[in-house]
Amino acid sequence: MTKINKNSNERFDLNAAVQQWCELVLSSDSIKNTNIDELKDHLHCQIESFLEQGQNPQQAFKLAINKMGEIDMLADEYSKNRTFLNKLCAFEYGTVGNKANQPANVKSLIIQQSILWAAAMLATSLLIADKQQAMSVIFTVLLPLSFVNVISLKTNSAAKEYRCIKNKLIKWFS
Amino acid sequence: MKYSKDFVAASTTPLILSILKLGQSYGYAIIQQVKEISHGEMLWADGMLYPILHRLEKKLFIEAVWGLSETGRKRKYYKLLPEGEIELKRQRQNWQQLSAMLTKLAGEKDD
Repeated sequence: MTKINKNSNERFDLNAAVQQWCELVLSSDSIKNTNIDELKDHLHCQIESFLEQGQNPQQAFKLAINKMGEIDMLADEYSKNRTFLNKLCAFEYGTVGNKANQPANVKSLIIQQSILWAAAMLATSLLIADKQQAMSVIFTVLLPLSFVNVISLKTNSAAKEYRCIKNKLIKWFS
Repeated sequence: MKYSKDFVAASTTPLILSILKLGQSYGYAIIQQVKEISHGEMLWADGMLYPILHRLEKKLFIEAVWGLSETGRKRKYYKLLPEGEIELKRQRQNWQQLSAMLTKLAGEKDD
């Protein structure tokens, strides 16, 4: 949000600012092109209302986008409307992007990931039990991978990165 | 805010359907109308309404039509469908029943 129009010295172009905001929203991946015109109209309505209250255009724009809420939250609200894949992801990611405006619930994410990895390892070992390389596959590939995965989730940024990948996936499949 | 998050969430659908029952409307106007009739007590976050409208559209409760605003801007209007009227009736009954239950329980306590 800080990206938007910091040069208060220059003449403020309201339409350009709105356009810029829309592009920022679209880059979140969850909001499709077909939905942006509706949000744009809403933003304009809100700006007009602030202008009527006597704010200058720049101030009106700022207040309006603040009222609109964080783009991340907006995108989360929209992404709730996704279909099967989204529900699958929602299960996988727990409360990440919940409407409660809280940061990603990394703890439950780690637990879920651990369970999934354990299941994957169990399934794999059952499949390759009679092969000679069974042990080495499990211990040199799957186990380290699972550790890297779960540990990387401990940082919030990793969780965000994860969500980004999720959004990309959803985009491909929808 | 006076109302809890859960309460606001539960009341959005009947409110939206009731407003659209009065005639077609669009996002911003719906938010303003709710603010007005609640005397500024029920404030919906701007971003939350649209996904809800889209969900209601998907359920065929309402229908969206692109039109133009007074200033010639592209604007999406929503109007109530027959399915939505049925849903509105059902929701109204539910809330009335709840209200009656609460009143009755409160009355019993006072006796």
